[in-house]
Amino acid sequence: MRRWTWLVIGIVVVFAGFMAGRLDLAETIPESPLIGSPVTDMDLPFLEGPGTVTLADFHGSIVVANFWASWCTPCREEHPAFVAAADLYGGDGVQFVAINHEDTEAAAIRFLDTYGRSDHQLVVRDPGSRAGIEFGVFGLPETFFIDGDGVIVGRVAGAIDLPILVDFITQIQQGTTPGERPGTVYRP
Amino acid sequence: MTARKVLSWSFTLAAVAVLGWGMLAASSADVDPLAVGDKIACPKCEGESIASSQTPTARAMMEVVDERIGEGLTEREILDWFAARYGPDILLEPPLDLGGVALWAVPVVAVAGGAFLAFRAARVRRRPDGPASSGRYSLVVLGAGALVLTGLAFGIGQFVQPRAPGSAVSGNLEIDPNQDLDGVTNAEMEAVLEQFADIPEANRMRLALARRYFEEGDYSRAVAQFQLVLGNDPTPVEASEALGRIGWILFANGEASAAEVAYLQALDALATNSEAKWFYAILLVEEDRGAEAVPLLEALLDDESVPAEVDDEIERLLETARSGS
Repeated sequence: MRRWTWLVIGIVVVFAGFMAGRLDLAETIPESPLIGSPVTDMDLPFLEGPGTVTLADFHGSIVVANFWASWCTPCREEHPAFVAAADLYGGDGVQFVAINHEDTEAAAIRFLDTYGRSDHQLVVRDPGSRAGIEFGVFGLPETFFIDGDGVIVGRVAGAIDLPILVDFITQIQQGTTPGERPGTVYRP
Repeated sequence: MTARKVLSWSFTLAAVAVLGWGMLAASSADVDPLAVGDKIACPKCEGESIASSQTPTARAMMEVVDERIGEGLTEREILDWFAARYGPDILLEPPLDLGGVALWAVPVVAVAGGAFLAFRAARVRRRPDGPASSGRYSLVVLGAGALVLTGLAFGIGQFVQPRAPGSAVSGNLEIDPNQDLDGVTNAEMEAVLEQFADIPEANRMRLALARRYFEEGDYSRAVAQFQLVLGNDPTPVEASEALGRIGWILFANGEASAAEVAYLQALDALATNSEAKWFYAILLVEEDRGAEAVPLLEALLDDESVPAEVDDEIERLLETARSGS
């Protein structure tokens, strides 16, 4: 008899474990499989003015690549943190690249006119959403952190703030991989 | 080796060769982009594949599918390419996952186990020389019941799936104005709205569809739907929302003066439309007419229907409006 009791308990416990695991995953967007992968080599044209930027070219510098759009409400919320962080690091070992994703150039420029710019932030466009696809972007905003060797080592989904930005950058400077910070992205 | 064995092996090898050649030939040349797109979820939509969605992301992903086919990748390789960037959840038919198989199997095993226990309990009780004490019997029945209930509770949930995209929308617009539209895809709403084009009751669904297009940045489709709402005897609330959002789209396309007309009409239809006030205030500030934006923004700060979390944003714009005026 005892073995049947244990069987019942075992099945219920195992199944509850499966369900708990699944419920937890359903709360956030999926984890990025790109953590630990080298960043893709692609040219991104500047939003304002000629020329392009290639994320893989910043050898030795940490790159903070932020996907945003003027129509994304949380992007307005997080924008001051990026401007402040770009000014704080001043291009010294950390490069901030704001990738304007699925937006019109005029609306994006108006956004920057309204919410501000940093001299140490590169603002680029994402023609054909190709950068967004390469990074597996689910919604906006999403921020990826690339270490000095050109490897993607972190992602923050949803609006970011200055303490999180500094925390991720500090971890990368210390040689650790900050990994994922799940959040809610603007996903129509 | 006998002649029969040689013949048998020859047939087998020939069959393998033919099958292998067929699989190789089908690997790249016969890949249908729409079939591949149907297997990839649109990352910014609910329940739509990139083949059926018209969002900019889905269209761009379909272009990538075409390019990869052109490079000779097989369907499996293309699906893997997307899964390597978005994770396996981007695939509408994810690869076999042992956890998922177990989820399906456990309820079946639980129900079968419960039935077996119940059968065993019944046999124990019927046996005249059996040691069927009432305590032991109760425990067996309890175990059987627990297993059956566990199996049913979890099993039913797996069989009652959300309605699959493409299946019929059963909601009758006239009968059920409170129908939950969250699980209805854009394509399904379009199909229903085609049948109910002239019924004002369809405005609720049309607005829901227009909002989705608006939020997806698909402005041309959004404007088309908002205009149909305006032409279909809208309520003041519906008209005001449609006009306000058309104004925003006009403004985003650099048509500031036309946008202003739309905002004024939106506020004329419904003076309490806080979204239209917010859009209009942004326009005024960006047009260096901050002084005109100040009363709108002050009214938004006093408006209790505006969520408190956007107050900071309103105050920032108010500060800009005051400094520029």
